[in-house]
Amino acid sequence: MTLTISNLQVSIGGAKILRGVDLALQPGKVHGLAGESGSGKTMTGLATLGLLPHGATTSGRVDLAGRDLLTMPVRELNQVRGKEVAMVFQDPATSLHPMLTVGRQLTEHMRHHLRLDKATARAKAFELLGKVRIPGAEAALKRYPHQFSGGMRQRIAIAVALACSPKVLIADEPTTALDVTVQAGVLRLLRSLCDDLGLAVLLVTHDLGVMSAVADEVSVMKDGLVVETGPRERVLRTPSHAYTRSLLDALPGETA
Amino acid sequence: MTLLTVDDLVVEHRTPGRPAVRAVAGAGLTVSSGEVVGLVGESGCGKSTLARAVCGLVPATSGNITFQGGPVRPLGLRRRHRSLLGIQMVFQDPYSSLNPRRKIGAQIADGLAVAGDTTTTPADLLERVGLPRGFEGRHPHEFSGGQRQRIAIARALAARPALLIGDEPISALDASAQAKVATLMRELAVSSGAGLLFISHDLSVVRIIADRIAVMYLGKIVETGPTAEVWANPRHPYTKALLGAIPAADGAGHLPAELAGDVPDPADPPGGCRFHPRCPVAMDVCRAKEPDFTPVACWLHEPA
Repeated sequence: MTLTISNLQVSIGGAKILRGVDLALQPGKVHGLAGESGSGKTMTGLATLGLLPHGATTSGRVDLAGRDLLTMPVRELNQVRGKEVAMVFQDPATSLHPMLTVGRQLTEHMRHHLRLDKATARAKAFELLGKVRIPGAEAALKRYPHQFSGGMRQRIAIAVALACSPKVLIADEPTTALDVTVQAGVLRLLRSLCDDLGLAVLLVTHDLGVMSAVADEVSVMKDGLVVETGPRERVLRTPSHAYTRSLLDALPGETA
Repeated sequence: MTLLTVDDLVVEHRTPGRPAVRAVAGAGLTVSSGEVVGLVGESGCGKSTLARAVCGLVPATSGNITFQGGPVRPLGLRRRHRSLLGIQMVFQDPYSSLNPRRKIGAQIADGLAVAGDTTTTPADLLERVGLPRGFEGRHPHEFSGGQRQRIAIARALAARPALLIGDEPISALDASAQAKVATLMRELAVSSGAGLLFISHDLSVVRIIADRIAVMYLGKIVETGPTAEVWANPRHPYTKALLGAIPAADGAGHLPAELAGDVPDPADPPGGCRFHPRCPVAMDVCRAKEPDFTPVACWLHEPA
């Protein structure tokens, strides 16, 4: 077990957003988290990294190698965020800094977390861009995010997330803003990184097709609760919960 | 009845000191009354530019756009010509397409004034797009993205358009609101007898709402046909790649096929067929000559 969420509850301004979520991420596995918007899937991802909006109260436990991320002091949490647990967001156009070069964004936290000197960090950044298959890495490091296409930007965002070799990657709708052809590439990349690096991935998505393509385990959320969890094939082919069935039935014309 | 005909349309974006970018490079398209046409393609293929040209927002470099029998003239300094008020557009981003400082009722009333409609009220239109009547006195910031897009649709419908254009109207919305807003646009357009040109990169939504589908690649329409037919039997290799990239929710764990390479620079398109550098079945003729036929612009489907 890399990251275990148990009985996670979140309230914001009196409204219960999460009502006891249990999830277990394993190294080398992609855990898909599905559900309609408002079901709490994004909040689950944010809560694990202490990124909830102001005024949110939490209870339960998010366990990373014996430490509880929910009660950890911020100073300590800052050593975990970006280093042991990293995150990729939906929109690569806003998650990258528009005024910093790709090289700067790739090396900044490596220098901070891993205390690397400039040259080593740069060499590592070069290597990372190759890993996420950005052509012309040397030139790419000197360019700015707007000079890349959406799919390339998301690859860069993934490279940034991977820079400190995290054990856990939380990807919140990483392909929703992308074209299907580009999505296919990013999904393949996520899958191979997970297989090659033994990364534990929490993939938050509303798209059951995406889920079916890359997830090993699938959890379905509704109204702040996980209503069904299981291996991908079982959940998507023979869903036991009525809500999962209704999500699958809502897909256009997929009768197979 | 054919409402809109786009014939061999070319639109170039010019920047001083750089070569002209042919965003639309000889595209043809028709939309009939009561028909929903879905225009799909990857980002940067020129679908939005085509929509803007149809509205008269960008001038055509060459080619013809005919709406209700008359030519579409580009917007100048004067008022938009009366004959073009029958074309209304719903833009991508409802955060910037609504005026933040005016009440939504007043913005919808603008549309009613265009149509000379004195009997319908903004509240009636709010009701039609599924919002409470009493909201007309509110400002845009009080609404969510999906609600704002409904307001933008109400404003466009208020002008009684014969042709409604949606330029990626759902891509800025939350995933769960996307299908609902798209279906609403279809219902409202078809029930009022208007044609709808729906532009989206989201194929699964286009599949639900479009009667006909047009696939665009690098400024050209490469395949058109009835949605069900194109879906069941895509003929152009690009359409095949596009549809093949959609992952199926069958639980099988198949990674979708990746289309090799990137969309080429529209300022410097490849010679011959524009798709040949990425095409898995490219032949010699594809490199040499551009296939210029319909409904499938591919040498494999050359009409006899």
